[in-house]
Amino acid sequence: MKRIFETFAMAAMIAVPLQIAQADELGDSRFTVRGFGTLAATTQNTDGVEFRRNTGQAGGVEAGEVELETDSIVGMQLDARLDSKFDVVLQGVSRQRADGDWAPQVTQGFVRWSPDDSFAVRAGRVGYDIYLLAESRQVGYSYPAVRPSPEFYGQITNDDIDGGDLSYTRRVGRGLIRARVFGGDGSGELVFADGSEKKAEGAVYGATFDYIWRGWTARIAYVQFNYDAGRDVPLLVGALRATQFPGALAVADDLDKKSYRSDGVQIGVAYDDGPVLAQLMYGAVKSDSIAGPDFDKFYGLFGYHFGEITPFVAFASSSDRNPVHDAGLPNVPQLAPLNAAVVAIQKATRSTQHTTSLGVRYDFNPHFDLKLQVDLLGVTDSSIIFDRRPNAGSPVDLTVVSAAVDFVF
Amino acid sequence: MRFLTVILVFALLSSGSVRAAEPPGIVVIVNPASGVDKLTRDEVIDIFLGRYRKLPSGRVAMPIDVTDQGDRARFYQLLVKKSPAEMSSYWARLVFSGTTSPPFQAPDAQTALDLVQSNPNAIAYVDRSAVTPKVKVVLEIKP
Repeated sequence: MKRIFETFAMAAMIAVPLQIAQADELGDSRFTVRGFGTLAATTQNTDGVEFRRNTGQAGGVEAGEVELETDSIVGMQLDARLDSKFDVVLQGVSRQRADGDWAPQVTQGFVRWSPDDSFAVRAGRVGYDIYLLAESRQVGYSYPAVRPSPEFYGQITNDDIDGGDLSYTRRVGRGLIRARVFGGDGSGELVFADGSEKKAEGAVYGATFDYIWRGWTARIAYVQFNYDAGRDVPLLVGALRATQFPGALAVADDLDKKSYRSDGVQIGVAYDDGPVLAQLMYGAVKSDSIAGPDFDKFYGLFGYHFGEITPFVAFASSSDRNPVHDAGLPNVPQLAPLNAAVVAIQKATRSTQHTTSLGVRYDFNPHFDLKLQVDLLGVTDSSIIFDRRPNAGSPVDLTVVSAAVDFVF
Repeated sequence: MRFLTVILVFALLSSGSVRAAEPPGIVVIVNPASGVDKLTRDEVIDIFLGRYRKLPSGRVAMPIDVTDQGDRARFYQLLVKKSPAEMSSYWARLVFSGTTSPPFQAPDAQTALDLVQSNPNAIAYVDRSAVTPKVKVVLEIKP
């Protein structure tokens, strides 16, 4: 609790003089400093489970607890224009990380070259284009809900890659087409219910194709994640092979890879015109191993602006395609740890849950909003929610209530 | 399925709706040397919303906002039916993605007019009554 207040106090002390400096330099400013943040209180009602917004958070919200760390975040960005074609962006974000620390991370740091606005190349640390309307899920002020859907985005532990992207935009008919390809090294953090952590590092490639006309945006996207198998897998593979059971050998063959590959596709359409905001998205993720995610996901949101007040309703669902299975070894004490280890590997990426959300956003100032949101979750089998009940693994419902203030400057 | 139907019905019903208090018209102006005689509403939306800042003549467009809240609010209400808070939220999506920046900020309509008169890439919006022979009107946005 103290850490979060210290983080926001530091951000405020830095932000106030910078805001003044920025106002003095309005005009052809070479440097622009901007900031954003969310201060949110979140609670839920079900004993034995912890609600998290993604798998990279060290801890979640317990029943009856008012938690400030789940949805709070603060970030700053420096934009520097070198000339009419080159600019530099540096963005740092402080939020709850896998080790529970709030140490700031560089989330964007790149040079962009754009000779004529049709074509742009970015190199460095860039956000990749997996969100329908933005590249960053950290800026609460830019979307109506308190948080991005855990079902749709909760398994994605990092928003950025060290590499680059290339985009091309041109007018077609009355609208625009925009194509983008990106690639680089990604690094994410995962935390499991037993408190252990794992780094997910590897190459990320992808492409997006958008059609934009007035309030409509339609997108098709493809992303490929390649992540290292980890140090423990060779030991497990060796132990499974040593048993000589056919089922265990098949699992060992499946796991025996230096890296695993997951392929994701997304199709989405958004309508944001006048008072109406609506989004529909479908995504599918498929992996080449039982160690990777394999699920379908869906997200829909509808909001309506009544002046400065925007009520919204949303529904999200993610559903694993395959059941969890063990190594096929006899249930004897000597082999039980191998069965358990194979189950644990699959449990790390499970994602069967759904959420219905009702909320309201109040824009009480051009740079601040206040949000209230109720989420009704049904969780069947999910690595995002920590389940520490005696009967862990059985379906559970929880109601999450959140209040948030977002700001940008 | 019912949820999808409700979303689509509301989207269709609302797409043609106009808010009750309709402000007077406004014109979009460029420099006569820009090589542009007229722009469509779609082109102006794409330029001012940072999606595609290229004029049909091939020049890179430099959009100018007037920081006076009244003029700017009226322009975006007429162009895309959005309030200042909605526009602020829109720009938060883009600037923190690092993909583009908001229009150049001019303190008042006269400064915007002066910038357009002196820069062939500049594009701004003013009342029709403020138009001078040194700028060219490329679109009138009527309520």
